Amino acid sequence: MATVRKTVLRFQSLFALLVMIVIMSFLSDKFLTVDNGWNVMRQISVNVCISMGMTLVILTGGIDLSVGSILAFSGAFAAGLLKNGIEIPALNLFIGFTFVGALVAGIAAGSALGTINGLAITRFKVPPFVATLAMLTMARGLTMLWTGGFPITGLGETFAFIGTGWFAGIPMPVWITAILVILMVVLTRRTPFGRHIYAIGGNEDAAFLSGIRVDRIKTKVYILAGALSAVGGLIVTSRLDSAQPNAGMGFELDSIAAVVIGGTSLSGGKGSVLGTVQGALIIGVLNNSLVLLNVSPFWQQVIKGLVILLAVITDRLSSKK
Amino acid sequence: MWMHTRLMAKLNNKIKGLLSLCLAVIVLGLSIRLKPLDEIKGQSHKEFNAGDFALDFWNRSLPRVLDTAADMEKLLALLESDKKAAIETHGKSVGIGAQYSFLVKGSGTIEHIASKGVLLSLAPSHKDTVMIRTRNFFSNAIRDASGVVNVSDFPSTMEFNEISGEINRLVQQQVIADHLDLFEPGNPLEFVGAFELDENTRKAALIEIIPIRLNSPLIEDR
Repeated sequence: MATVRKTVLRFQSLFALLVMIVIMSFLSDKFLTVDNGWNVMRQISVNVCISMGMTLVILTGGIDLSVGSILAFSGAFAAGLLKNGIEIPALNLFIGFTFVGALVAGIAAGSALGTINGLAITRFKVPPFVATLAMLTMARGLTMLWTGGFPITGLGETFAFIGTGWFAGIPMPVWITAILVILMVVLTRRTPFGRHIYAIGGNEDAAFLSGIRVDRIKTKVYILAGALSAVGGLIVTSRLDSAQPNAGMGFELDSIAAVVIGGTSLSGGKGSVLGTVQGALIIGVLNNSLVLLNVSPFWQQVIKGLVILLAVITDRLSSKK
Repeated sequence: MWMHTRLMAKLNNKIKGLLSLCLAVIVLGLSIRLKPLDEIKGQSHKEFNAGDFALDFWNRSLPRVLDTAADMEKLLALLESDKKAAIETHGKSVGIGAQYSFLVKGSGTIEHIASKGVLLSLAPSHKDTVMIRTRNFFSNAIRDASGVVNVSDFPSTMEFNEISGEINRLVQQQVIADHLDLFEPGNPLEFVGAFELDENTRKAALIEIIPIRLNSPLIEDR
């Protein structure tokens, strides 16, 4: 009996997902179709990218509220460089960026903002909530400055391929996300770095006393979260064929929701990347279902909030037992 | 032994450093292209003037594509029977999205003068009615339906949108102003124009056409 309860608790998000899929397949004939399946997968790919970074951060006992703003800035930065390049009049030099260059620059920008988060938290002991809240505002402001408040459009077919293209019958965002999921699973389960993340989240003092360089690991985690947000930003920008200054607003909440629903404990040290993928799938299927069932957008927000609350209560109850 | 291990570690670090440097150089080489700034400025960075661009578009680019305008009455029938085919055959879209623009021509009889334009009963069947917009329009229809203005040629959407504003101003000055006294119920009117349609609109609303050319047999009698 205890084993059954343990199994149910372990795979609770997977069970919830299956129940939702079964119910929806009865309620809407459009739900269980190949097209809708790819549609859901494409929609969740961005959330999965940023939620994986959020998982690592939460596993260390932290939080990152800046993922949505970093996503916007990285996407806009890459788009701006690809479209306009950089002019250096003093040297009579124009630096044009190729497709590869724009991607590298976008990810580097996200990593740089993640580094600032990490350093503020580890070196200056700013609480993660406050440091990343400040970054949320700063990155959004930087995006507005960089774009002048206007979308950057017309980024070309090669760039658009990342977000809208298909390869071997599978949408590109799904490929990118799948590869990142595999890398992150290996990173968290099979490397010392991954084990150190869990150790820090479990008991930071104990981790420090056992020789783990806590600050260095934490900084790397925030850098990784920034880089993954940047990948999400590149996918969003590519899908829309434009960098929107207000992209990614509220994404941090969807991301935290995916992590929590996926079974990662908000107090750190417990959870997994695969759980987060399940959480993102649940949110994606829930969003899709509510749209297919023609539920008012206002009710959709209420229902999503309730689901998150339910997930946190379940997490609390199961951790008490 | 100890010396040997230390030497190997140093060598390993040097190899790692060298490999990282090579990788960085390759990535940098694939990422950026350096050019003299004055060469770039000379090529394309002439100060953008939406008015000049719109005038050039109006006088040179647009007339070349007017022959491709679809017959309005036939297009309406096709939109009714097979919207997808109508969009694929005649619609043009900027980037991705559900908004399509159509270049159309037709003729008809003015039924009514409304606040935003004139209602035209389409010839020869007079089954369908469209509106020719004559006032307060802020449409991208002409720019987009022409298919000759590419959004990726402009550094920002602001400049891209300014073009539409200028085109609409030309429509007002060069098309509508000349025909104001002919807008009377019962008068015949020929037109070439453009309109926008949202792919997801389920029921066809009144089509609102921004005129590019207007012609009336009565104009010779004035």
